[in-house]
Amino acid sequence: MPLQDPPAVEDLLQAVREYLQEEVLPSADANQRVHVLMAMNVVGVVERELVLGPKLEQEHVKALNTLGVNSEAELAQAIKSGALDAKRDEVLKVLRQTTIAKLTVASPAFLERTRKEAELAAQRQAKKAEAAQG
Amino acid sequence: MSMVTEDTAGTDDSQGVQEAPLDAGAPSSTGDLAEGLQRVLSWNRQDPGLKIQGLTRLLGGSSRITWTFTATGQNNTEQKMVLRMDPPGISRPGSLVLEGELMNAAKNSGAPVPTIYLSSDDPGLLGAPFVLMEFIDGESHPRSILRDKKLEKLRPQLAGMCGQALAKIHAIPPESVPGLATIDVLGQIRTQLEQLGEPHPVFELGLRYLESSRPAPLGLTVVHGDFRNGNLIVGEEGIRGVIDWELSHIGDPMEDLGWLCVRSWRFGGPGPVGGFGSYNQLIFSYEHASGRVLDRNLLRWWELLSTVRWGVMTMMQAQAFSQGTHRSLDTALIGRRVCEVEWDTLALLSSLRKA
Repeated sequence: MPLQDPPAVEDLLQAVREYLQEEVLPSADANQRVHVLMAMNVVGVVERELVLGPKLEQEHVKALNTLGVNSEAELAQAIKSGALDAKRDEVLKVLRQTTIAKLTVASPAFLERTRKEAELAAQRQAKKAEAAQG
Repeated sequence: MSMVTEDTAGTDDSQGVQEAPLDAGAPSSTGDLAEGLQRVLSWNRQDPGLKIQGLTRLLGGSSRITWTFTATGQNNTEQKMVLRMDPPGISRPGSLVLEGELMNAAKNSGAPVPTIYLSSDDPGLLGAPFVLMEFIDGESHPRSILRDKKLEKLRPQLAGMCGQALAKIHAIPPESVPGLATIDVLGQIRTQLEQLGEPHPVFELGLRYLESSRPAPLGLTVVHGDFRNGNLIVGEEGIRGVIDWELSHIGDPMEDLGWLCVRSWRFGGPGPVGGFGSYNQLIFSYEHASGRVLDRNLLRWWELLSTVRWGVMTMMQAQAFSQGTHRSLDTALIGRRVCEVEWDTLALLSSLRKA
């Protein structure tokens, strides 16, 4: 059992976010509204990091290891020095995974939007290819 | 440069420019500033009865402080104006005066810009260096430019109009603004990233690609430096004013075209150019108006450079929060949104590989 009594940190944060959403937001004026939304967003980031963070960190280290490095700093240095030039596709794959992990915590709405855009673009590409064949 | 993006709240509800409470970090009390303005303008216009009304601070750009007000002359003529000042303690002598000179030069070149009335480096006048200019009525809020019904007919033409405005800006004779620094933007990004001291493998990969595939310059001209949806005031008939000239310098004109295409300035709109237009519209109109020849691949290279530049700029803003120099909710979030720019950088790198 943890030292601290319940509720857990996640539940405390959720209570703050719900308070902002249900009590503060409806009566906020236009200027306050932006700031209330930002505050809700900050709480949301912390909630997601608490819940998803440890798993994402583990996966991140694993992905780094596939490139023979142990940290973001080492990876940055290896890219800069040209040591990974021959592994461009693998590097792109790891960076994509890393960036998705960051977006999952910080900006899930952005991730969803760009994924939808990518799907639409792929569909357009496919249609074009079809038309070219037909 | 608007340092806080429209999207900062992470929702579509956020508004760009808002009126701030009058006491929020004002350089002096509003009353003092109004008095100072009245004194300076009365003297400048030789009108002892001139009155200043409705002095209101605008939020949005964070490295300069912007106010609007109405000056009423003795004969009751009203004129709405914009005042831009250095923030207290971060005065950069010469830069606002230079900005005014540059905007004058842009006007002479035929670009749509507000008329400059007065500028001064003398802190004895209003407490900090300032520039006073015409208030241009119109729409500048990026999301409204993308969605307002009244602008429906404008939108399909706007990318072309941007190309024309840029051609005029790039036609400003550099010798008419001798104070402008020449900047190699790729070298500048590299230096800034190193100074930040944070590892960002995505931006390293972007820079590695850019440094190994650098195209021949298209020219060496005046560059606006922040020409994008958000720094344009438009009306139903077209672009009425290009604003926010503080990042201007001498450089490759492609810089401005690439910056205009960065995804962060599309505000959810479908067009790659500012959310409202296509690459081809921009390329064709710019080629036609400037006489320079460019292609889609060159624009793609500059869009990648601009995206990495924006990533590094957002990191610099985030550091201002971490170091405590600028603490607010919106700057708190900026660092956590750098990954959005990383995502865009990766998407461009992938498309360049296929090309």
